[in-house]
Amino acid sequence: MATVVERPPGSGRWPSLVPYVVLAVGTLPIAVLYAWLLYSSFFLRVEGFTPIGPFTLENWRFLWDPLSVPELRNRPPIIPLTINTFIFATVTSLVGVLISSMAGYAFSRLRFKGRRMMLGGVLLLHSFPSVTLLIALFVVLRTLGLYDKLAGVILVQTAFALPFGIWIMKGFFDNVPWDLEMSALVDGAGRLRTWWRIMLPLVKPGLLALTVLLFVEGWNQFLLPFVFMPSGSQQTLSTLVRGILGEGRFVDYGLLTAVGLYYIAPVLALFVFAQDQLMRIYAGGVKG
Amino acid sequence: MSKRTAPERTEVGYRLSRRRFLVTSGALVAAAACTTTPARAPSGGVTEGTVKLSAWTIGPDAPSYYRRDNLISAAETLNKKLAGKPTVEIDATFESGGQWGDYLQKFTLAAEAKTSPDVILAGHENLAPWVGPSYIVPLDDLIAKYQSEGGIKDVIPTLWSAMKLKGKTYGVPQDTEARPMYYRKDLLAKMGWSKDKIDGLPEAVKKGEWAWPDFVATAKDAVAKGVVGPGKGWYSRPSKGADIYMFYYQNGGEMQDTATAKLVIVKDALLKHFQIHADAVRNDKIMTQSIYGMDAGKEWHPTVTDGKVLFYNAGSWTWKDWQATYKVPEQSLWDNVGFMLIPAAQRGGKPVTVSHPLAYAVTSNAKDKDLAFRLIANATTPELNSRHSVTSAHLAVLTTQKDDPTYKQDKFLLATQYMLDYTKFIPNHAKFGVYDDVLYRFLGAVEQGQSTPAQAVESAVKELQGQLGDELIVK
Amino acid sequence: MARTEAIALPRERQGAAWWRTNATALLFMGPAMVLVLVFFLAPVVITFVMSFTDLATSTGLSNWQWIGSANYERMFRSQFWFTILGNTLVYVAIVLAFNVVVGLGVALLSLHVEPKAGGVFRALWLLPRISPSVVYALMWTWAAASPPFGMLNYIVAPFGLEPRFWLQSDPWLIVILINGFVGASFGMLILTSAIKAIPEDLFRAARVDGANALQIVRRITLPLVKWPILFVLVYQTMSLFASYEYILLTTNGGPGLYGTETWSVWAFHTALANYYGNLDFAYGAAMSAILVLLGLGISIVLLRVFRFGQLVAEPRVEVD
Repeated sequence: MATVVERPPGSGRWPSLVPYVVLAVGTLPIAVLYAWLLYSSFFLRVEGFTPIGPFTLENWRFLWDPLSVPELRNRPPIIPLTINTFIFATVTSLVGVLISSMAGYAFSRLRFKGRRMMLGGVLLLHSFPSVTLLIALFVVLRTLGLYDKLAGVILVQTAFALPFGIWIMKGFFDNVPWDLEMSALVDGAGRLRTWWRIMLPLVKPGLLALTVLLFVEGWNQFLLPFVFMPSGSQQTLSTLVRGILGEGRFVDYGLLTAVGLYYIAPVLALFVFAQDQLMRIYAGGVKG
Repeated sequence: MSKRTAPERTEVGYRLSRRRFLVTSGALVAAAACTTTPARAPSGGVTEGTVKLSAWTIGPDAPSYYRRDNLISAAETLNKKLAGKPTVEIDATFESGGQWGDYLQKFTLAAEAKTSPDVILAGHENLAPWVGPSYIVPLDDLIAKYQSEGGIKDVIPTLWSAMKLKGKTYGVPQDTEARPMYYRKDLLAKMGWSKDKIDGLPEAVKKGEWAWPDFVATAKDAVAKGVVGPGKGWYSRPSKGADIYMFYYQNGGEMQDTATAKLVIVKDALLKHFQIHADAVRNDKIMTQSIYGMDAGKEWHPTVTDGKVLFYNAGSWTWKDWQATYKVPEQSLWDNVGFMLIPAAQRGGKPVTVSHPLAYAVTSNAKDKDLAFRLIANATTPELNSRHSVTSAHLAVLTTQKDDPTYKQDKFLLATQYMLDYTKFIPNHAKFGVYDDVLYRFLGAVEQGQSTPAQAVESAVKELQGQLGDELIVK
Repeated sequence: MARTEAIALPRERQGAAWWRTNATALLFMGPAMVLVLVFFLAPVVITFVMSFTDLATSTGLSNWQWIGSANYERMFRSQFWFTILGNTLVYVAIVLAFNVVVGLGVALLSLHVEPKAGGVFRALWLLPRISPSVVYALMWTWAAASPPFGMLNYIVAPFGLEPRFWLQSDPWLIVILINGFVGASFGMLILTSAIKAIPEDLFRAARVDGANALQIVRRITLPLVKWPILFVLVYQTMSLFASYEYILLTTNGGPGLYGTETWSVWAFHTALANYYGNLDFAYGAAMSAILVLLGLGISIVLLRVFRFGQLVAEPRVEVD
């Protein structure tokens, strides 16, 4: 994988400015939206692009003086919330990656009854609007005694992530040459050992990319912890953001933009850090 | 968990919850590692002679935190009365930061799992769906038994009627409000109204001397004279909510049959209700077409607080929010903004408003229902309700509050209290949500010009019949 | 692959080998199977069964009754089911096209420009995907807000367009853009990595042969990323059928009579977002059931058309 370098295929043949212009125009809406988000977090009110009132750090005061923000007065401080959210996202992404890579490996390398059907089925399951399963999920969780347990939430979150995770990991295993694995098997190593020792290191880019994506999903998850873990539901950043948003009644939008940015920042940092890994998320399907 | 006193509540509440969260996370990580079922986080042992009571309230909603804190104070009062036999430990929490849908759903699931709290705060109409599956219990016997506890006997009688379903009472009113029509005094003055006329407006509306046609004419006049911009003569509520039914009630609408408790739709009133909005938006152009779906926080409130709209109807609690969130000085509100009932449909008619009381209810999961009820009763006192009323601009639920020193200081509450005499409620019916959704969408269709009021009434009634079946009476 | 003979080595007796393969598969598949069965398949089945009951908040899980197909009858008794179905199909088709075309476009272009610049563009395109939905939707609703609040009005003003409340005047535009960018983000991610995984030699050889950039894209890149494109297509089709969140947070299905209500938004409104707290679980389940049939049908057609069989082909290894 390390040999793959970014290259402009056919550089110098297209008028070189055209792709830049097309990209820039297409990207403009995104850039404007996020620039606006950043910009309006420094003013109490913004109409269009025009700030009403002077530049202020008022919206950001939740960082150093949370008690002066009415919306935050009865909530846990933001740092522990951030840590909790981090723990939740980390655990869900690790569990998800582990299980996806096991199943992905099996789909890629093993032959077993019902393989085709299961592989197709996993993808089709994705067509079920997961939110409408909430009540049925509740029945299941309650039956298993997992309602109001973090474990229940994590398992559900993982299950929802599996269709994507399995397909992505299968793609990576598909791409690993058979030789390396074969020699390990011939040497008498078991499948499990081969998978762990030989295969996983080879699909590291996939593992990293999937971890990042699942982490982001866990980081942004609101509904599942909220509904299925009532006793700890005030404990994530997503609840805080939803709380500030309220029922559209009296929303302090300045505060919301600032907290929203704070909420995005770690994921953004993670992403900038991991862009190269993420851009290798799909290695499968290149069947020469 | 020990009793929490107000100053330390944030700290204690947070530490406990975080510990619980971390313990559970830790247990899970361990569990994931060795694939055993995760251990439940240990819960504190109950000492002899203590009863644990738990309660959920929606929040933390910036101005309305006393919905929870009053229960904590009530536990202290109750403990003094009980003198240790037994001692009540209260675990009252805010849930879901103001999102009603999430909050209600969470309670439903917890009730099914038999882990719901002992006391739940909800809108009066939310109680109706919970009666069928017995998530909450009727309170009539307890009300009779504990008449003298707290302020139970002083609850304003009309509010009790909003707590009833099929003759039984399911909640104790926690707060209420009115939904006035606000008006800009400065703009009326600009139109040449005398100060006396401006200040006398609420009284004229109350007496039915100044009615809806006058309202429309004034708004049109304001737009014509350029005192307000086009479409800014009147702003109604931009989203779903009970306020919308004020204009249905104004025209003789009925929503629930008292004898059968079935939902009612009065076609004639519905037509007038739609017509008022169609006229305002499409014919007279006193209300902008953008009203439907406009965002309250980003668009509606900034516009009205800037004094750009002549008339606007909103909850009485907005008076406080305009000060807190939109930084309008109170004096400026008094100088420039007046409030009145929704004018009668015709002169000589009766003006109207709608209230939406919240209520504390006792859940069927409560082990000791007497104590749970007594907790609520002790949270229902002139002193406690008044401090909630005053911080959040909600109206009194007790007749005795008007003499409460805190309440008496609040000019706005005193000035709007009379509106409760003209108030109506939305129905307590399990299928009200379906009814509301259909009417709300058709209102939008009328405002957007997708259908005429007459067509809308026909289709809406047909849709209601299709969706509600024999739960609907058409008049 | 010329390695098939090596596979014969560890083979034992036929029956035992069969057992061994399946046992190993079970080991690897076990956790995923259990999770999918318990937390995905079982709830799906329960939801289907539930659609024949009257389960709602007002019945609870203990008081419900079987009511046969009444929920389905009620659904089709509504005057609006056809509107909503139409909305759904239009929404899925247009957003899907946006997702795939724009996603592929950004992937190709960003790989064509200087690596650093490409990275920056890709980073920006990933933002919608990684932002919490409430924050992302907030930006769009603000952009589309009524005058004088919305940003969009200031942007289009130089082109002579009247200021308007976009969410209301052009709700579909906003719905398509907000979902389009998120989905394009996903397409861009998958397709960029797929293109990056193409061996450099192929491009080099083509360039030596004198092919220009467009020819390279058409003859080499596109055929080689056929599978990822198919994957994005199918995955996004199903995502879009099931998606509700951004519509809910922007137009909420309005304006007026189900203007932008799609089937899954309808199901969500019914089963989970009733303003007055009585959630019609069973009725919502019936809507979900229809939605799944719809999604399944279309996905199967897609898979047939694109010969999915090859995508789930038996592993190349262990062929004996």
